[in-house]
Amino acid sequence: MKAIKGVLFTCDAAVKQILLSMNEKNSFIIEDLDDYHVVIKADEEWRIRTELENELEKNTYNLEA
Amino acid sequence: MSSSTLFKATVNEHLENLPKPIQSKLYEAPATCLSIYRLLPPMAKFFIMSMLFHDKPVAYKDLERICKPHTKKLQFEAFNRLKALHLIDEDQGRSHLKLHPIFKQNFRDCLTGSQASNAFGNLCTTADKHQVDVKFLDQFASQKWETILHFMVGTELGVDPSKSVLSLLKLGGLMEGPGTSPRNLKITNEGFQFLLQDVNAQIWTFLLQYLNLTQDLNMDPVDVLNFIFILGSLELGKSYTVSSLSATQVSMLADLKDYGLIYQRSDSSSRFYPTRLATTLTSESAALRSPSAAMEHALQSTTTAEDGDDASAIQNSVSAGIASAQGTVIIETNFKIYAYTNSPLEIAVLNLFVNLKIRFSNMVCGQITRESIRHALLNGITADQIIRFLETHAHPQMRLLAKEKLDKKIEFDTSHNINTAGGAPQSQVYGENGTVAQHKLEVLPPTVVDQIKLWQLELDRIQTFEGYLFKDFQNQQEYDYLSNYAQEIGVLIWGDKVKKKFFVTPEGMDQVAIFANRK
Amino acid sequence: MATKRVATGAPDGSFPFKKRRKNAGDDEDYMQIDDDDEWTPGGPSGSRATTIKVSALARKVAQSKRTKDGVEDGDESALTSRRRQEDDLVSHIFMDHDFAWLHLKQDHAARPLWISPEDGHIILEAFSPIAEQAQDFLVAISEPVSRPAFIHEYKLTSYSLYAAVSVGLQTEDIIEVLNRLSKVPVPEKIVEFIHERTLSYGKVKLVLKHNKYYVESSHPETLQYLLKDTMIREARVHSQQVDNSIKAATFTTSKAPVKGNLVIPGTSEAGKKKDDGMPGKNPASNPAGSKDAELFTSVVGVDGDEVDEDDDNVHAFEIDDTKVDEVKKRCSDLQYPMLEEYDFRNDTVNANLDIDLKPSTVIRPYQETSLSKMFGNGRARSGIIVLPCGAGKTLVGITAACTIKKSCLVLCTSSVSVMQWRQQFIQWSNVTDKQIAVFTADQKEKFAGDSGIVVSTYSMVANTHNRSHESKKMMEFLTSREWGFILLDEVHVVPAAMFRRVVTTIKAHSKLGLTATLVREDDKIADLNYMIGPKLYEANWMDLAAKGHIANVQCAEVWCPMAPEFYREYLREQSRKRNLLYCMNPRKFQACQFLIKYHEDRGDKIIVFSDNVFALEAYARKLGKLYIHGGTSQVERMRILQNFQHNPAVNTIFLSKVGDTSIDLPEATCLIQISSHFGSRRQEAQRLGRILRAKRRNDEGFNAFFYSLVSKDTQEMYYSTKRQQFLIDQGYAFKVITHLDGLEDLPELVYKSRDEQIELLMSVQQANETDADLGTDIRAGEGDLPGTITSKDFGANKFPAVDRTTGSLSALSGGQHMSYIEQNKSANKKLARESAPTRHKLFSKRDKDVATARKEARAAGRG
Repeated sequence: MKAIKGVLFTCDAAVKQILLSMNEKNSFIIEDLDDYHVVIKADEEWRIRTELENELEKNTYNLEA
Repeated sequence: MSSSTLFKATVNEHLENLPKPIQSKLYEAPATCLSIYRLLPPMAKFFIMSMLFHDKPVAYKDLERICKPHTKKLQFEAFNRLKALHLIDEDQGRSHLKLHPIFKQNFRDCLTGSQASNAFGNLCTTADKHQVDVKFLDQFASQKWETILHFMVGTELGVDPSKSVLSLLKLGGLMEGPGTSPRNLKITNEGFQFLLQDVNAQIWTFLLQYLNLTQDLNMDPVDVLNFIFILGSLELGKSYTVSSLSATQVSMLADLKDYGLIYQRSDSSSRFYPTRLATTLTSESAALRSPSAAMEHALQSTTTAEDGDDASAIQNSVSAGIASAQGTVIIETNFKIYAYTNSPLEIAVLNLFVNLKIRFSNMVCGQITRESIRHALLNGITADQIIRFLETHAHPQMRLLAKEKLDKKIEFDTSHNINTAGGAPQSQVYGENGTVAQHKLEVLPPTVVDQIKLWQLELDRIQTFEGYLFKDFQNQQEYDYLSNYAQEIGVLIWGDKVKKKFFVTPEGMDQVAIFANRK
Repeated sequence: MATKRVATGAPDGSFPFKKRRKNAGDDEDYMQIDDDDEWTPGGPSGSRATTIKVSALARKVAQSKRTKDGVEDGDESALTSRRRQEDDLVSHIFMDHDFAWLHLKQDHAARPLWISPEDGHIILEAFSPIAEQAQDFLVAISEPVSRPAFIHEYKLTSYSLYAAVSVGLQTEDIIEVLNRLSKVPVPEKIVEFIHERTLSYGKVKLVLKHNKYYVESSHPETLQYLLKDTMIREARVHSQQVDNSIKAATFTTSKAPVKGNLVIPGTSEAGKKKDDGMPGKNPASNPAGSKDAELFTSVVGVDGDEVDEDDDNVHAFEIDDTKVDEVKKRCSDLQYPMLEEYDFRNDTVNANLDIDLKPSTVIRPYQETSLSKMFGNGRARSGIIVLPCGAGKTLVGITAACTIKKSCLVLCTSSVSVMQWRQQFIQWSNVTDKQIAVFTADQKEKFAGDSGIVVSTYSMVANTHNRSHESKKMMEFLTSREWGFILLDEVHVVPAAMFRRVVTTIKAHSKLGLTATLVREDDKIADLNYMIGPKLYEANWMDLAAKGHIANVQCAEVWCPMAPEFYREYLREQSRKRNLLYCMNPRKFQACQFLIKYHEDRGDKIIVFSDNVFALEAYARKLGKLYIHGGTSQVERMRILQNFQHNPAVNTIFLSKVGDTSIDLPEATCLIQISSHFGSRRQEAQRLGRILRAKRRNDEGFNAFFYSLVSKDTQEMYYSTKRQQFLIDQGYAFKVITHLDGLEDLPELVYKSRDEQIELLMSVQQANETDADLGTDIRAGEGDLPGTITSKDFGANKFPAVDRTTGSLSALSGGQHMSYIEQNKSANKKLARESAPTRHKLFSKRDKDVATARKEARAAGRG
């Protein structure tokens, strides 16, 4: 058996898709577990989260915008 | 991006972060041992008691056996805490543990009454010519503490707080400003959050800053901490001798008086009285709370002070300012808010989750936006709290309209023999016998309520956990065995039987590995 | 996250207010209220260096000692002075919008509004006993910003004050009433602003007499001032005056206008048949009947429109009619925007048009109010009336025409609208066929007689090239006469340039613009407003809904998660085809199916909108429903609509952009939107208007439903929220439905399996990029405004055939018998087969009329 260090992402299907597509550009996914879980490289967590949030922000219209 | 509670520096964390030698020194004082013990979770207390009177190391297994089944998680946590405080030591094989010897000794002494006489302060044996009663002490404490809060809020006092208080306010990041003049100090955002906390948390914040301050002044931190802990075990209403204190501790008296923790008639008095603020420092209800708890207080409209046996009496008068804002807030379907208030505290509370824009002397207006709500959520306030705040503070006009709507609806339904609600399809709330429970008073616009909850859900969309992925097991059995264990000790975050993979916390990784080897 | 904007000064530096004169950000003026503010972050992530002065304040933290009321009822002056001197702890949150220093009046609780000194913002308690009058007043002097249930917001702008003055409100009156209504004394800055704007506004009028243009004013010094300007001076025409010139001055002089005994047809006044009756606003509705009410009536009502008594002469000079527009702009720049008024009662030169409303036609109170603004002083004022869709704008226009009783030119956005206006004229008034003519690409008619009505489109009139001979003759007919009245329908759709052309080629004494929203996506509000005139009246949507004049609509946004494969493709796709992907989301199909079933079961009539034709067809076919788009033949179109109206088996139809214009749409009670234009607020509001006529109430008091289906986590969410803003400010609330209960259990749920979804995805991938475009089925005909109208060409084969694997577009092909239940077949075809071809009555009558008219014209002489 093996133990790999990483960060587990729990999310919904749509976010997972975004992660997969981001992964195509520069891979950070260690393991794709299922529809709602992936494990990514530990030191990438912050970068990925930021990018994800930016992606999702694009679809949000803010009143102050 | 993770929720950062401002006052994470709980006393426990502080203690856990102290270097081992200092901790050891701390344990030389029985009062400290007692206080620390009091601050531990029940399971940890239990372990300590179990080991206290054993001279030999105790086996993990034995401890575990005594515990109820399904408490693996609690055990795990307890052990972690004890380890962080270096109260327990493991042997090479990691199968047995023993208590920190100094702690053990002093705590024993504490329990058996064989500690030094001044371990818990010296009660004064002579009567006080200027005896003060509990009521006086409460008033004194309340006034002292409020002075500090008033100063922060900007109330004209005539008297400035002491230098020490000012330093603490600055050190703790609660206020800021150039130079040393009090006039130049301005409250910060952290300061605002601080205002909304309960008194106990506020005092600990102060004391922890005080600890930092004393280090700069070359005062012995151990002495200081010990005294603080001693205070926590003193009895309200009684006076204690100054002579039994160390020099360091004597020099603390003036400061503690400024904070309302003790009362001393004059600097040269030979006795001092602890106030309620001191005696409740380490009591059971001394859990630190976040701004969210402040919201809780704001939700309770207690304007009548009750003599509770905790600090709530003082708390009440402070939070009364928030509570007085009943029925003043209007919120519209377009997310705009109009609050009839001019209380700075209430405005400060609103500012936690509303984008405030204009202020008139009897009204402030603003708007709830995604950003303003996210901001609040990220600070630990929950969507429910915000919604309840708005509900309890709803303007009478809003209630009026809500009642009208409800009446109309009931009338319509009865005249049409409807006992299930009509309307557009939506996720409906079901009553007992399957009828749709729609006959409830909706004071707030439902779209606003839903949206706030949706914004919270947005934040919860992604959750991340650091840890380790276990995979490539030899067989199903191996997987099951280990994943069950991980589950039991509460470190399993995710697992899939079929795929034979699971994910555990960083701490859990060790445990599981050890467990695997133990077989 | 959006970056916050910082407060800016006015571009011309002269005033804290932003002058909404020319351009840029006029949307902001109207829509947003926070453009001046910078939000100070209140949390730890924000800056620590917030600028607060912790100064003295004798308020204790334990506020329980002082009640909220206590502050107000307490000692006024002590509080006042303290407040003025101190800055509150929390004042930093508000930056320069902390007006706590404005002291409250003693009886402030009885007054319903606050005024912000910084930006002319007005906040009104709509639950106050005198709220209704206050609202009327505020609508007359300011722009409504948001009007939900309890608190309304308005904004004083240059344009709104211009509008106020143009309906006769005097500077001092405005200030006095504001003062009466306000909890705080009207701030100095505001008083100055009002003075500045109103003293120069309303002073100058543009009057058209005998086919000549005059600049008129009661104040000769104003005219002198204007003439100092080079441009205006050069535009002046020196000619012999026919009018009596009393003064030796260079201006002509005449008497000022009064309302006198002008009666607006169809109004309550007309009903009473009283001479010199003064309807005005009905103060009787105000139970308080206080002095305030009287003041309102006199200021806001019709009666108080008299001009200054001390100067009842007016002076004028003529200008070159080719320079009219420039002069108008110039005067605007000089802070003297001209009002345009038409003294139709004293116009003996132009022939009268003897038309009136039919006796059975009665107009509603708000329609009456809007007209009273227009005819307040007995003349016809040019301007814009804003009413929600379905509230009866047409009738307002027709009534105005019947009041003026001179030749009238009506301009619409499409040929179908033209037909509709004509039909409505005939329906509501006693105009005869001979008096009303139509000018479109198909028909070029003139009316018989000296006066009459012509209905046409903007394009027809504005287009300068490629005119056919007939067209040219028609244009001559239009340009050679003086029109008493030009009616501009949907005025905010018209591009500014086109509009300018219309205004310069047609000479009209008065102009009335009709629209449902003043919101334009292209920020050209300012231009347009000054070209037509001030806003005369704007209705309150919620108010109309509450009174039952328009439907009470339950709005909802349904979030449809994207099917995983679709989402993956969406993320990869960068071209326009993205739209197609979120449109064709199988989960959206399902949601649509669900909603249709739900509402059909409840007996609703449902219209499903889709701007995208590809999606429209796919949905309609999959769900077995009828559909209409640009390619649908006229015959078929009418057949479908008839079935929708009368056939109990046909309760749902799908419409493309053609539905946005005024085809004769029958009543629907439920509107579902599956794809729409990017963030067009106007469109959203207009779509709502489609169903705003619904009257049948349901248990929650709603009688209509509006669903916007959006695919979650796509750009669609962004546009959807943006589009809703206007409606939200009117008081509508969009419920978010994240989950439809029982969707999974729907019998015969479409695209249930992954395979089916993948198949759908493939068909989408094979579509062209152009299929992703919106409104592709609409092509402007000769007379129609691009993108806003129906196709004129109703033939089935006029559109380019699109190659698709799912079947071809052309409607009528031979084939086997099809049933509704069968999926993937065109329901349209079945319908075509089943009924005999008939023309819609509108057109069949038309055809007959045209034929008759032609015969008559020929018989009446070769003219």
